Amino acid sequence: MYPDERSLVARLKDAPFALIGVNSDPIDKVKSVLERENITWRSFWDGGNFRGPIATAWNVRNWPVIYVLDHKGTIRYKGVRGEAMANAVDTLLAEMHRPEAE
Amino acid sequence: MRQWKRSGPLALALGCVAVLTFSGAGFTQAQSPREAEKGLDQTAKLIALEKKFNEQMAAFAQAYTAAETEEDGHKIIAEMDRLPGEFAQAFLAIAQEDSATEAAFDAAVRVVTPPEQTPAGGPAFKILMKHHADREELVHTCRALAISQSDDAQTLLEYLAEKSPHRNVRATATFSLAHNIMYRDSGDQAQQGRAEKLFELVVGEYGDVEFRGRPLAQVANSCLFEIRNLSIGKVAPEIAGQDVDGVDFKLTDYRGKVVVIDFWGDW
Repeated sequence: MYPDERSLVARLKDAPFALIGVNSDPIDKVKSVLERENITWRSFWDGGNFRGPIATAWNVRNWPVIYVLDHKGTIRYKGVRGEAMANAVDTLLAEMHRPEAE
Repeated sequence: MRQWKRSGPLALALGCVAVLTFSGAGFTQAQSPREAEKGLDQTAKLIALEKKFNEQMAAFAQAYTAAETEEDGHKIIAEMDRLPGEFAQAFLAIAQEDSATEAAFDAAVRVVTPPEQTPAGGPAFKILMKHHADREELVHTCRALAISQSDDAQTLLEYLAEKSPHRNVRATATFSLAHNIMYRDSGDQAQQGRAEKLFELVVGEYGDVEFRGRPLAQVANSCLFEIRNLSIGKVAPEIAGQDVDGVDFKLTDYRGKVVVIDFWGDW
């Protein structure tokens, strides 16, 4: 939810981290929500409804849906919310700073 | 509506609860669920308990509407989210009185339908399996179990996928079992392989059965794409599109960073 995401983005503003949204609202609605909720992160705009091309390609039918990718673009976590999302991101950030395993 | 309040599905759900119940009372003192049912027979107990549950949901909805601060609002939502779990034990007690009845079936379904795992879930699943496995209404329960976090959900779905006398229940149970395994993806390759085989079975055997307004073949094929390309360990497929200001960008612009992709909307 927005507060979890706001605090994550604020805490990691200097880290190699990005929160990318894929938004399914009509365009004027999404703009008012960005302002109302003080959302600073970037979103793909998915055509204004549930059946946008990105959500369809990613088989998203129940919102919200979260994927966490490592710095190589590999999907490492799915469906984590709130504290679990923050922990997942911290784990992957820590991993980046360790020398390559194997 | 205050600025911090969600106008989305939550508000919608709250609205529905408020309309469905006739509680004109304010934020009533919470009673224990069992107090609703003294001296009544099984069906009457179930009705009384459902009424109490709906009243408490409505009371939360009113309290949420009246909340002054964002923090209070979140506290109320957190309490409201705990309500089905708190009532689960009371619904289970009704289902255990005489487990073969219609009321027991309804009560047990109430316990197992929310996605969260509760201690009451295990016995309720056993009641459904032992006394009600031949019911066609279980098709609705099967659909809900596609996103259940309960370990016992998969046991019931496995059983119904094989043993239900109704083809639509077998079909929906097979699909939901596969979906449940995929949904709870922990990065286990063998489990994902099992889900993939089940989705293939759904496409081959049950493709014509309807699932939430679409043929199962279509839904299962989308899930096959997801499991093959969007499982833990796969490189995320490219997303190329425009941001809300119409500026082109793509997911791989962020390679080298840890990325959270958040599919969201405010409804």
